[in-house]
Amino acid sequence: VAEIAAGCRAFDEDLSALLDGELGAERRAEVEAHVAGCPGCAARLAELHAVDGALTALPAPAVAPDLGARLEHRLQQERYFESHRKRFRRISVPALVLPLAAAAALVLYLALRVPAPTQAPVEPIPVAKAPVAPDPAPQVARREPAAPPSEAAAEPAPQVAGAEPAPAADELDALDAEDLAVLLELETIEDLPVIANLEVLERLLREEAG
Amino acid sequence: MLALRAGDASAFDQLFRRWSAPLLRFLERMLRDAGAAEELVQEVFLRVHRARDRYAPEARFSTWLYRIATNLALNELRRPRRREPHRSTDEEGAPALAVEAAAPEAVVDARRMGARVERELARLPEKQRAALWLTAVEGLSYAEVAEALEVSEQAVKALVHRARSALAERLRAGAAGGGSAGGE
Repeated sequence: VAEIAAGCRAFDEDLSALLDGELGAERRAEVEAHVAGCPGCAARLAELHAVDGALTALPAPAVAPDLGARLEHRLQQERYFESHRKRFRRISVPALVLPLAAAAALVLYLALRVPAPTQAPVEPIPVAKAPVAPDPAPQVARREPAAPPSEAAAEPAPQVAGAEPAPAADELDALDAEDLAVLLELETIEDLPVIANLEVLERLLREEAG
Repeated sequence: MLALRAGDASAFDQLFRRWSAPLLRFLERMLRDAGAAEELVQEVFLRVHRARDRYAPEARFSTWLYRIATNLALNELRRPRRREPHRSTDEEGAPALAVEAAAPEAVVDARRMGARVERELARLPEKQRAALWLTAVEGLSYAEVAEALEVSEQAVKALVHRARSALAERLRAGAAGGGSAGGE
């Protein structure tokens, strides 16, 4: 740039635009006239033009023969998730509230479950002015032979679902980790770790239930 | 693209066949990493596929395609822990410029020149590199490059000229220095 004469600077930036066909007719005529009478600008124009030649002469990288197949594979994955997303969009949000609440209750129950006490409570709750003093032992006895937690955990949903009809219950029965991922609008690639965790959660729940 | 939007699945294959090579060429020059360039070519087409229902032909399809590709390339280049690109500019492994000459010296010269051009192109700032490549090689107008790069036409004019001038000077300097590596 230092070699450009002062009188040529006004034309210099337009040399590229001249090469690219980006000058209006009037300006193009001016620049061409200047270049025709200026050996320095003519040489520079040729040099700039040579850059384009060098760039276009660079060999083109070959497209890998399996690139299309790899793209198709990723598209199939996208279509699969799209179709699942559409399937679950049909389920209305109110219809989901009850089953999801039941599922949340189940998870909470499993998380907070305390093993059955091995001995009776130390202090029974006193009942004021009761005609007959209650025996604390039967309370424990009633609690012990009740359905074991594993059985209770296996089928909590019917009790809750029976309280109110849940139109989407059939579809929700089939929910697995992948479906949950779709419900939660997790993306295929970005959320793979989350989806993997859902699968682990699903397996743990099945083990607990089974 | 309009055929794809109308539900013609084969239109997507046609788009891929028509545009995968130029996109790969552009992305490889931008990233200097063949693997990453291939990944981004796939990503561009995935985005095209996702947007098929929303596509509105406000600009040429190629402009839209290069806009996606440029954004992806710039994001990739700005990733903090981007892996080192492959080194293809050593003169042994460098691609030769496309020459028909059969003479060994001509091939060696072409390789050397190709290596130098690639190296100097890679040294240009990202937007200059993209603007020059899209204009000089892919044949986009300044208006189209402006849309692809999301800058004004005037900015494109300046970017292209600066890039072309810098490349011309560096190649001249390299030639004057006897084709040395030119590691400024």
